Amino acid sequence: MDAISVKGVSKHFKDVTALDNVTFNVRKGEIFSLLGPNGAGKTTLLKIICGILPPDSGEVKILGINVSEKPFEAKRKIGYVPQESIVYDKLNGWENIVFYASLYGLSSSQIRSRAEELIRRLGLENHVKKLVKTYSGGLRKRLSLAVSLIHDPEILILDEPTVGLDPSARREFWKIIEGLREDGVTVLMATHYMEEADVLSDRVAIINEGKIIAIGSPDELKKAFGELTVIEISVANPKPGIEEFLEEFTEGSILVKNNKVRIHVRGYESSLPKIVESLLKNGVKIVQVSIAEPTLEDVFLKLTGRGLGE
Amino acid sequence: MNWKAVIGIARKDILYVLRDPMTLFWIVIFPAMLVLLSAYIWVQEPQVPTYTTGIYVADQGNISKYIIEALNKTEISGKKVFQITLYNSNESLIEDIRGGKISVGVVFPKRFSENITKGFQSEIHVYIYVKHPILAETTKQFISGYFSYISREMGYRKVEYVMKFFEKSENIEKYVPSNVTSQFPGNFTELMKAWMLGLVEPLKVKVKEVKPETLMTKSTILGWIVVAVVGVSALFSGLITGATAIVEEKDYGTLHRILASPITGWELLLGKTFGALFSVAISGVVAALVGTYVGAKVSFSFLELEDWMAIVMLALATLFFTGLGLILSIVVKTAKAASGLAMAIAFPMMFTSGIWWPPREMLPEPLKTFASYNPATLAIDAARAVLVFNEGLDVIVQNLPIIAVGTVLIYVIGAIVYKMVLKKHALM
Repeated sequence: MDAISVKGVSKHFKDVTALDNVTFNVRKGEIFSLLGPNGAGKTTLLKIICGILPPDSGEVKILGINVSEKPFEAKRKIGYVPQESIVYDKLNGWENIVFYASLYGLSSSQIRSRAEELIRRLGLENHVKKLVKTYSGGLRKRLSLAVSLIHDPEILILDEPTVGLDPSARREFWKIIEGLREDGVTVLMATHYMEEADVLSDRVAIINEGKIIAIGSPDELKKAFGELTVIEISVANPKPGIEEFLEEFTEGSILVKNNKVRIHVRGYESSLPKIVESLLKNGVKIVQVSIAEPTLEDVFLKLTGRGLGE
Repeated sequence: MNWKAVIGIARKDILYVLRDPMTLFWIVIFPAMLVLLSAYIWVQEPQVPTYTTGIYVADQGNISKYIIEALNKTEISGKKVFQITLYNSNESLIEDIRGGKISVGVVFPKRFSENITKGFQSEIHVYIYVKHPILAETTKQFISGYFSYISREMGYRKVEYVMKFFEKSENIEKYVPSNVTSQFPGNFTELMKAWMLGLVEPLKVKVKEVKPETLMTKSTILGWIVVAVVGVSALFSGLITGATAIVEEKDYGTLHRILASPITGWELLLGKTFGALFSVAISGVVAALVGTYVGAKVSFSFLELEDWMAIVMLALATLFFTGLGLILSIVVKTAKAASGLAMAIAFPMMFTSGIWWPPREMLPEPLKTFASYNPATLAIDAARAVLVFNEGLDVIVQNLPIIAVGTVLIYVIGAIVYKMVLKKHALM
């Protein structure tokens, strides 16, 4: 039995189609990422899976339980961490945990034993008695995770879990998620960070404009990139319109991001000199040129013609 | 029903209240201030009036002098009532009244004393400074009453004076037609005296104030105010809690997480309502403690059913306002807007529903009718009747149908609106 099964789910908001016949499944014990740009429909899909929103059509099952038919039973199996902070500033860490535990009807002894374990595991020992308003972003995220795991759910659903975290806090958070997988928790995560999906996920579903456009492990998806090669050029002065004068050399797509130009080409031996010449002719200062491995963002770019951040 | 969730939500809201200085101000300092200020401003011993009085005497006789002397000596509770200044002309006296230098002007015209001595009617002219109509009316009533009293006293003196002639005269009854004397058997002199007293004061009005024992003390008036403060607290806490129930969680960012947990909308609403009841209970205890300190009478016995029913009445008033707040929540998008709207509605309601001042009986007729069917006003009045005026269960039983039906109706409508709003915000 799959941990999560989504079949033919559609959702519309007035004239806008947020989700269009979405179907996928998440296996037990895996980390599954929904990768897509902002506005792709990831959050709406997660809300439907968590029973917050009803779908217009289709069905969602959590460990075989139909969410529309038995929402409370399904909700007990899920720990949900939305994108926004879910902890109360004027309560301390412990009080936040107790509050969320009460929503699941846990007894005092259950709360104590489970909370103590989570506090230790998430490194909150020195902070749990302090008011949340004194917490850093990383601590808040860890506390959010603690309150969502207090009822010992089999499935953890994370919506953009590392948005706003600095790189070290982000890596620390990834370690925690990997630890949960080792404990047998199934993780469904929505993210627009390619690296996050790549590093953490067993499988990734790429979602764009409410549709799942590809599903597979990160490696499988990258292999689907095919014969194309990625040339990555670091430049000192990325000029506006750079994509236009490089367009004739690519058979795939061009992505300009953070002073780096990624160009998808077929046969880099012949096209690389022409690309370099064109850049120099247009006054672009080249810092470094390399042949890169395709990333999930390249896959997304190939499939949609635009970057994840656009 | 997941009572652990309900209690958890209420506990969380209570902790939030206790840790928010602004909310604490409204539920602790504000009721204490209301009771203290009301006790200081409204519940005072009756004030002795003092009138700056200008007098112009055109009269040459002595009676005007006697009256001025009486005015000068008039005291209430050891305090002089008239601060007298003598004027040389009628014009200057009126000019000073117009200028507000004196509040009362008294003019004794020429032959004032002579007319009285001769047994004629004599005039006395009184001018009242009218800047504030209510104060002027009070002054007018007092001065009129004062001179009416002097006038009657003069009449009685005249009767005494005339009676001396009767007593000295012999067989005076023979000058009176026999058909008159035959109607009044007994002493003819006493008969004449009684007759003349009837001329002086045809109507001897004896006024006695009859008030319930409990209304006559300062402590019960303060008790009235204490319960009114609890009512005001129910009004504000209920409306704000209802209006912010959903948008507050949305602003915190916690709404979707709560909706992802296995609780019903009713459980969330009940938890929030208990939080509001706690706020009202704190305000009630603060008001009662401060009230007791300044001498208010609020009696509560753990053994009396009606006392517990009075508390239930106050809880119902809170539920009523929470329901109204929930209905308001349909038009707000943020907690700030919800609080603002709730306050904007609560303030006029405080003065027009009979919960605070003026009491229901003193409201203009349309508002009085509205208040008479307002479940919250009735509930608060019933609680006051029991806790302050020691009335029995009857007053509660009598109003219970309107209170219970009205409150349940508004709360249920509020809960339906709440579910709609919850659904709307889940989409956002």
